[in-house]
Amino acid sequence: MSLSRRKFLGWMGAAGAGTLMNRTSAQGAANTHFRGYPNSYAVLHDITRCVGCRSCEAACNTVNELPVPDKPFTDLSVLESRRRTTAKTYTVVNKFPSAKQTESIGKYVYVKKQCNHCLEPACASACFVRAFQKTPEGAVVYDPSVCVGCRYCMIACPFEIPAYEYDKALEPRVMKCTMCHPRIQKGLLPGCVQACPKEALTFGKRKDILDIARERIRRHPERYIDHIYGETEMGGTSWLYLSGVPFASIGMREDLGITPAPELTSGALGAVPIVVGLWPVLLTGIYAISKRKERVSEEERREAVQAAIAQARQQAEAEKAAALEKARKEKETAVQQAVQKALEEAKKKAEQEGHA
Amino acid sequence: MSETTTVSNKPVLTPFNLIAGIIIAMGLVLTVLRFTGGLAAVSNLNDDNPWGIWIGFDLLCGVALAAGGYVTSAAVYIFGLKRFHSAVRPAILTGFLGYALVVFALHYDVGRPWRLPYPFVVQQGTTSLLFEVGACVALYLTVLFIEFTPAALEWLGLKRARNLVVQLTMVLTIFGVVLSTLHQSSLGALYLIAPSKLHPLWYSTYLPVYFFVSSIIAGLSMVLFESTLSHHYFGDKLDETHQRESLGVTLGFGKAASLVLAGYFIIKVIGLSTANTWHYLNTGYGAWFLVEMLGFIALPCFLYAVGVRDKNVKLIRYTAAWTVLGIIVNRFNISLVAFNWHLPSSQRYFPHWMEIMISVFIVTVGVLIFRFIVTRMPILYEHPEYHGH
Amino acid sequence: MDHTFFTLQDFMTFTKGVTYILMVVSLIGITAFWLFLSERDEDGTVDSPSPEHPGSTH
Repeated sequence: MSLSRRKFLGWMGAAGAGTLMNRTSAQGAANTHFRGYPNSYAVLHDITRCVGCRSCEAACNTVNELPVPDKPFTDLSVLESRRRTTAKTYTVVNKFPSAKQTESIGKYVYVKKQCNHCLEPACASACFVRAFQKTPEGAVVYDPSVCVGCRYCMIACPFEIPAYEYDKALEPRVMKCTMCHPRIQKGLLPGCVQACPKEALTFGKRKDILDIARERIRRHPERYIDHIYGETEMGGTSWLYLSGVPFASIGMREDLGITPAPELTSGALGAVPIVVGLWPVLLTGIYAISKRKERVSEEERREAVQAAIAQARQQAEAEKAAALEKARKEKETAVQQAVQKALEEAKKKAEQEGHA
Repeated sequence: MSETTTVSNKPVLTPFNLIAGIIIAMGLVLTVLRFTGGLAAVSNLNDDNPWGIWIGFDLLCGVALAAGGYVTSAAVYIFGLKRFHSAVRPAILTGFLGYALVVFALHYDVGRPWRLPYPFVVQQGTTSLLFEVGACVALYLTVLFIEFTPAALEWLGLKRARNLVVQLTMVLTIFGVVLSTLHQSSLGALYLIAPSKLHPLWYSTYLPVYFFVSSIIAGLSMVLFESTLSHHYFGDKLDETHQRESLGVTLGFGKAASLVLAGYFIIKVIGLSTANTWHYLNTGYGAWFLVEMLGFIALPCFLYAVGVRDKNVKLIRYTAAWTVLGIIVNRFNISLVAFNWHLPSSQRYFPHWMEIMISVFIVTVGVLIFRFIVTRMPILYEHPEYHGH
Repeated sequence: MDHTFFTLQDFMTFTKGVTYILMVVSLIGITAFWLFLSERDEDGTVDSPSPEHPGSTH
């Protein structure tokens, strides 16, 4: 598994040449603000004008060829319970007791609910197959031909809009309002806007719709809460609302903030490549350090063993030399003693012979 | 080794095998129901609650508890702690089976499982953290599989192939840690996109860090827990090295778990201060949050420490089981309890018994495969031909 | 590729796509680089990781 320097540099060169792509004019600086498609459409829902007739629901059902509901759209008793969008209903009208009661606002308030077609849709950000797309016309559309059915879009949507065909085994789809994208591309109005008898729904360019909304508030400050819901919520939506009563009292959350969904996850996503870039370096470093420590301690152990052996040998040599010396001295002493003894014996013998 | 005689002498109709058989049979029936009647036929998932226990338990807990693979192999091969070597193969096996089961479980949860490869081969949703989770899990499953093959190759007697794979250990270990860091943290990051739906005590910009750190705790504890079970049920398979190293592994992993739990506790408290969510502690959800913090993080941290200091193996093993439960509690809290906390109780989710049954079925399949492998392949012992690795 | 992005979503789809490709390239690259770095060590010097014993020196 060896890699020569030449081979390695060759690979790097080839890779480097391949990265010379066209630079885009994409804004990427930290303070860039994305303004969305310049001519996209939006719908204004003036809640003060809605009377809860459900004509919009009926039109939506027809235009999108949705299944026939259990109760007909003329049945207004359904308004007694709080409803949400379902796999068979892209839009619902709900009835709320009015938090304020004035001349212009009666006992009840009616609110239409459907996909808000956010400028930075959470569903699009969350989808791991890019099944959702914010179109230049403003509609957020869904492509069932790639959808895997993970339902993360349903987790992500702060308005709790997408529904799922749980009862289909083989081809379940996510279901939500399409802003009648095919119709608006042809210059027609969305089905609900077309059907509304009270002009509670107005379709136009988003910037014009905002102007209209601001104008209505300016002209009738007693009639409207001074806020266009959807102007900044979750970074802005393409379905905008005016109301005479506080939005929180009609089932519209005011605690969603203005941060667009993609920004909520961009921090975590941004950390991913840093881990990929740095972890191998750090881990290899730790490995190298632990290996080196092991090698050094192994060497030190070896040296200590060598030194101990050498010392033991030295000691053994010294002891041997001392023992040899001692033996030599003893031998010498013994020889001297033997000589002495022999001399004395010889002397004695000579003396004995001298006497005789 | 007496492995072959052990396997053929045991009776087939043990109580465990009977129960497992029933579970498998029920699982197969439910599988048919799932793919003929759709998700509605076997679950309580609905438009308000698109994710249930198959995500909360099978995916989130499954991935967290399979983390022992990367933690153990990092300890031994990167940090050089050779005395834990006997723990590597069981940990890799648990990890590999854990991740394989996660992918298996996903086939029940997603609407069109045959399209699971789509994010990689058809259209890439690169802004999605689920894309990142999917990519890393797929790659890591491959890494784990390769890391597992030496045991199988030794069993099959394929020496050259086995030696070739073993040479890849370092690279695979480093890739494994990189990939694990990414997908463990990204599972937590999945919830970053829904601040309006997750209770403020559990929602934090630090969610990815929390998930990553707790995966280390989960991995360490699962190795200890799995070792407790293996010692009890497969004790005859443990070789001398295993038994000799066992005490060291228990003390070493217990000490590490205690330390990491302490760090985890600190960063969770810091999360409260960063978001200034102290006042939520004084609510019903706050009480439950404190149960998680004190009962399942602070307590095991302390018990592990006592167990290590006193060399109390039994205490450490019990604490490991309790910690595993604590990880499950945490993942359940984020995905099921604290999620959708703002909805009225009539709209809250509780799993259908069939959802639970399918999860039990999936775990049973995993246990059976684990048993098959551990009783035949050199996981709890070293193959005599390759002794000394 | 030479166009402006109107939404953060489109911008991020593009940049993350490039980033993922870079991640794969850099993982392969750094592995190659590491092999290049440790090549000389495989000649049996004290430092070398022998094939049978990754992480040890014997």
